[in-house]
Amino acid sequence: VKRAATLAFVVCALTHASDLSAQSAEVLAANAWRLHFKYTVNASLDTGEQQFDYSVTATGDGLLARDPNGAGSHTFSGDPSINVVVSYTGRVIGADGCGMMESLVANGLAICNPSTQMVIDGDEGTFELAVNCDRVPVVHDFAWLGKCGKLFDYPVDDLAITEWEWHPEAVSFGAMPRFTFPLPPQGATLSGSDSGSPLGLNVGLFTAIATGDMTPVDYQFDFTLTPEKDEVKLELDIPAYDRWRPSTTPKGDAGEPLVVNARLQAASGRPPRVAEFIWDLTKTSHEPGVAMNFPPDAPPDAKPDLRLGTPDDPHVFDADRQHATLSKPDGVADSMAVLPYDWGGWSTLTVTAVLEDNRRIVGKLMGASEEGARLPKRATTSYIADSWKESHDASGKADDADDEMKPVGDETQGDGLNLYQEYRGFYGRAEHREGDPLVKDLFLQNQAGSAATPGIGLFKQLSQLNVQPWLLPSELPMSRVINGNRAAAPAGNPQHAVIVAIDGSLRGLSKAQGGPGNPAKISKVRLQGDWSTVDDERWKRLVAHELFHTVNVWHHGDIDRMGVLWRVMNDRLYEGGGAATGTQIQVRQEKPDADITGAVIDLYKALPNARRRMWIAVDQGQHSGDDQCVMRYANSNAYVLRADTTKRVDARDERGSALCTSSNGTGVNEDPRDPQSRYGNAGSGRGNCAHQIHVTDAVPAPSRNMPPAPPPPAP
Amino acid sequence: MRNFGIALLGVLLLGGCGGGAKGVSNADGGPGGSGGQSDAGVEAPPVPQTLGPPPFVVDLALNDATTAQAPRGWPLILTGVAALWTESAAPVSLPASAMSLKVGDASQQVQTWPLAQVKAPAPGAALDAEHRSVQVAWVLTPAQTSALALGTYEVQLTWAGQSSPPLAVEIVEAPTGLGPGDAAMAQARLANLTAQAALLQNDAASALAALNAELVAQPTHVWLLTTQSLAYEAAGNKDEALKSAEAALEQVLLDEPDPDEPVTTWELRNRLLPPAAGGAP
Repeated sequence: VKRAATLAFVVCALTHASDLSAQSAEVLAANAWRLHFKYTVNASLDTGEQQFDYSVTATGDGLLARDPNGAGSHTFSGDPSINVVVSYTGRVIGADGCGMMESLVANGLAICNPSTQMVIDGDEGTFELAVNCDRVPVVHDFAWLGKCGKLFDYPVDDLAITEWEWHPEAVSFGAMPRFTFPLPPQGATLSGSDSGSPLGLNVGLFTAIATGDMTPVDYQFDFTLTPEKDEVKLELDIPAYDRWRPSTTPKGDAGEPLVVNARLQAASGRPPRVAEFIWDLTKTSHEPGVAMNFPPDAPPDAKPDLRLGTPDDPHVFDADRQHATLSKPDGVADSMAVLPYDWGGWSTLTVTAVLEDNRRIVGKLMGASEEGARLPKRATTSYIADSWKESHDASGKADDADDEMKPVGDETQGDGLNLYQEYRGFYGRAEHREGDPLVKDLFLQNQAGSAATPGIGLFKQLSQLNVQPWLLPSELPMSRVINGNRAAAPAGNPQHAVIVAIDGSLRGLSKAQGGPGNPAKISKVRLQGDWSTVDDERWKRLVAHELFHTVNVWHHGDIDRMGVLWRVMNDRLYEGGGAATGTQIQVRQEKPDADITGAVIDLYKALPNARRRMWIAVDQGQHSGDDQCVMRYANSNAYVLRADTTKRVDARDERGSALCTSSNGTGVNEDPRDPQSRYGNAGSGRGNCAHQIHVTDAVPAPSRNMPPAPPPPAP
Repeated sequence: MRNFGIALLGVLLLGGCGGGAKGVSNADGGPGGSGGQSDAGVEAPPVPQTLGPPPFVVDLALNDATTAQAPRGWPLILTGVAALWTESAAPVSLPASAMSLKVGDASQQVQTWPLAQVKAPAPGAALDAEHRSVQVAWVLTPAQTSALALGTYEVQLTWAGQSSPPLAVEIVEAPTGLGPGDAAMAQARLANLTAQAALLQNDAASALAALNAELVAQPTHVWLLTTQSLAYEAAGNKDEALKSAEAALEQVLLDEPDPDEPVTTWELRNRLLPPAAGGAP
């Protein structure tokens, strides 16, 4: 229901020929315009019989976007927000003294139908503007009738007006002309104004007093149109961005693709046409190989680690698949798969939409201010996927951090592998493996197979290192450097793996060749060829013992007297030779204490040459310290009684299956003990083996050499 | 938007993207790259995964684990082990029924070797904190290895879902025409292997026969002497076992007069010594 006053404006069309060559290209290139305007009307009349006051204030603000089908014609439209306030009061008093009065207030957002429109006519050098929001809700209307002689004391009722046509039809579409203005010779802001009082007001509200006269009113219309430069966005959506990390296969085939969707968005909801999508990967890594150790000694990478597009992708690619284009796409969206060829690859993806008006819109992730996307999702200072850091409790750590303290060992931080290297990972047994950023890693190549596996397991259990014995011969270079495939990634020191192998030339004992020391020093753990002659439990402990030398764990001492001859001559027992050069000794049974020298002499008489090689273990020697430690020896035959150094106590020891945390003697080495602590505390700087562990090659492992052994006891 | 499911299919079928693999051979077309129909029924290649630590590991070794070569006419011993790896792992049941030993030839055709299992898991065998490894072993007799075709084979032990890395076993002709030194080494290896295979089958007499025969030619061979010691011990002859161990130890100390590592021969000798002779309990 509308009962409207009709305000009819007549606007003079302004048409100016322009110098198009001076015209701002920006005007023609703009894809959207922001419209601000203010329209006011103030009119009043007092003829004695008729009186009214009428005012309108309308302010508009909004976006006019390019008509999606009108790129060539430069037609823009939108629905600006227009606030309108209309106030009207009028009354009529007849000659008979009878009259009536009415009032109306309209206030609110203008109702638009159709939308506001602007058309730029580049040929004519003009633009036209039509505001097609002609109505506003009425909030108050009322009328009074006046009894003759008694004015306006009789309310009639409201006038049932719900909407009010508030603006001149002259600015609406349809048959009426639009406001037409010249394009500015330079600059990109369009503005204009119109004012005056050439219009007539037909007060049709009061039908009873309508005169049909057109009464001049004053109006003012001012507007500006500024190009909306940031209106169009290219939004990047990467569904797997939060979790994706590069991957590949041992053969270097593509790993899990990362799908990136790009879509042009306009605030108006009507994005412009796209002439071309351009995809670029920049600053892409070229790390050698596919992981830190694979393939071993990999040459510099000729091809980048991340590449664009699957094989059947219709984009046009460059040779390295770092640049791709799609011309005249069907729609305003495009997608691309980024394929990884390295577990540690990184790059930065940039997507550009070239619009038909030659504007270039660079894509951003939703909510991001930064153009493009770092791949994988990572901090600007890192090449490591955020998701990996989060899942490995390494958030906030630098790529070159090497600060593990589990196990504490000798308190040297790290394992020689920095965070990036542990993330990029390694190949072992043809599978991708990672380092543990919280626990020190130690890589082994177990060439001995099942012969060494239980011992390696015991070593892992006791050391609490993250032992990784997975390296196949094809997964480790001759140098044994496990992290050698490096280029631009955060540098670190070469960290070595340890090779464990059966050495057929070694019999009776095994050796960590070069040890004790850190892994760089251990050329190989050479396990004896006759390993199958050692029972399973002892062999397991021995393998673990040798492996501890590869992380700089030393024996409990070095000064035992091994291979000492006990010989019987003239019914006497000598140590170290015969009567001329040896020491006559007595042998006692440890528990219960008893002299067993005679029994020993009887036994030895039956031996060839009446002699036997003995291992005399001494204080702070190889058998000292914690008697449950795997680093302690189990070769002894006897020890020296401190109270009488000519007496030997018959003793046999077993190698432990633990790792000691103190240099103090325990068990048979505990002090006091009856008859004595066999071998006492571990040697100076020895024992406390758990706190000797030193994995990293970046920091020299401390030497724990002991002073030379004291001379044997005097006869 | 294009269909990336189809795009991934292309990776499978073509065995690579973007001009091929980088830095590594891709001659066989990549994983799963055996060709196939380009239809909706073909699955995309599996996404490469990072392997975490397993609950337990399975490994194999051939003979003395020093070489991948196994001569025809010699015994062949395969030693397998399952060892607990992850401390927090729940007890792992290792039933014999969940164990398989697969032999394939160079063209990956499954082979049937007449392996005799000479060391089997005890009923109810399991890995836990108290039982950290379980060992198994198989043997082929000299006659059986003589019947094997020359060539390289892959042997893989799978047990309760974990597999050993494939163990390459090259069946070669028994060595002939060797110089004296190499021939002696080969004969010692053969005697040891024969003895070990016999001991695994609780046949100490056969073990001793093989060792004694070779010790005539090589009386100071440490390994032969050590194995002989074990064979005598298995036969219940501790005196001879001790003598063999003593002889072996003498030789070890000749090679290593000042050993800087624990000497297992010494441990063996000490274990065999009677109390009151440096072998107190």
